[in-house]
Amino acid sequence: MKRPTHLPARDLELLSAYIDGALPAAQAARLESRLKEDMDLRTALEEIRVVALALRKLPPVPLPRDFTLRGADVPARRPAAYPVLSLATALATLAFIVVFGLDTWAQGFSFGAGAPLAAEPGAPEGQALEVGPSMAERAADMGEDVTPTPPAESLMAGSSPATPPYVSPSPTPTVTPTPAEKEFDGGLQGLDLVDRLKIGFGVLALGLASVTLIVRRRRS
Amino acid sequence: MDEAGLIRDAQQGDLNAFNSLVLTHQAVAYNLAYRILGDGAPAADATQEAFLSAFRHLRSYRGGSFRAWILRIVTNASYDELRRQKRRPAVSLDGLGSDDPDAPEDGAEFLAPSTEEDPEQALERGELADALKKCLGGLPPEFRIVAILVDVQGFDYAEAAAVVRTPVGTIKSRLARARARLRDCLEAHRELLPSRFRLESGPGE
Repeated sequence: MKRPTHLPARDLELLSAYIDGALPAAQAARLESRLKEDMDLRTALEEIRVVALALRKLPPVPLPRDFTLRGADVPARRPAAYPVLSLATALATLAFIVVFGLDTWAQGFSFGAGAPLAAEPGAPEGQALEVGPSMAERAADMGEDVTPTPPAESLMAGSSPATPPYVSPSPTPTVTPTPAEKEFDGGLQGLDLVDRLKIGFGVLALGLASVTLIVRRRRS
Repeated sequence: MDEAGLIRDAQQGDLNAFNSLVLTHQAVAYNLAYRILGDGAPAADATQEAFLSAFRHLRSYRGGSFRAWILRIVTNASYDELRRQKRRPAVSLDGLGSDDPDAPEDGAEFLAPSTEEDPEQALERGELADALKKCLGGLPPEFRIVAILVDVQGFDYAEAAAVVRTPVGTIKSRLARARARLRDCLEAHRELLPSRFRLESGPGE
């Protein structure tokens, strides 16, 4: 006779599912008609049924102890604010780096190219006059051939109609006030937008990082 | 409170709510670990580790049967314990005895005693427990877990599939093969089987 392990896998699965009542009605009917004719199949069914019965008769094992958790067992969970603070710190730091990097790159680019820029239309006339000579001096120091800056009087007066309007070689359209002027203006009033952004993002990143560390330390 | 409410509170870090869930599921969790590992002490460790892990990762629970979710963690913790035992061969699956002198005899806790049974029945119970324990322990893990879930714990195929994370068809196939192998194994331990479980056909018959 055939042992269950010697049965075709398909028959074995059918018998096993039949025991559990997991066969569709049509399949169960076909199997029942085969069982009537095939003694080996019938014996295998009984053997599998005995095994399933033996396993099902196993009663539950009593619990050796209670598995509920105590506060001391459970590591403290970081509060919901922690991931938000971490993300905000990262974003503020990234913003600071981007603004700082772009500003540095822009300054270096315009400085290195030496391309003369037109003075901002709305800028006071004196600004172009202040910056012009210093750029020329710096370029001269580097050995470049730079056309000397015309005197201020000739620019102010527009000495000759044939003379093209003076173009300031200023690296930036606006002129940054000297530190003394900044102090004189008091705080951020003397700073341009980029400087304000740099300071703002920097302070924000530092502040958020401090708060995040404090929160983390309190919870750990 | 219903289970969904307890899960929601536990996900917010409420340990009391989580412990209510532990109380509901700890019996089936420990029994599963016990039947996978075949020994009480490592099963208790695996169960405790599983509940700790469940609490830590409760936010990853995305609905469905919570019992199946918990038992999947218990199964994984038990497999981890099995791997640890393999790395430390001194503690083998066959070493089913306990260090505890008050612990029940081998196999006795596998089948709980009945208050009405006579000594012969108690002996039968112990013998059958021994045979089943040895045979279950000899099955490949993927067959063992299915036999335990469906035949011992009484899960339906769908819930067993949710615990093992395999299709229902695979559960059916593994269960059939597990039962066939158990049948052969029990036949090999025929002398241990009580008469009412002794199978009619023997080898070569």
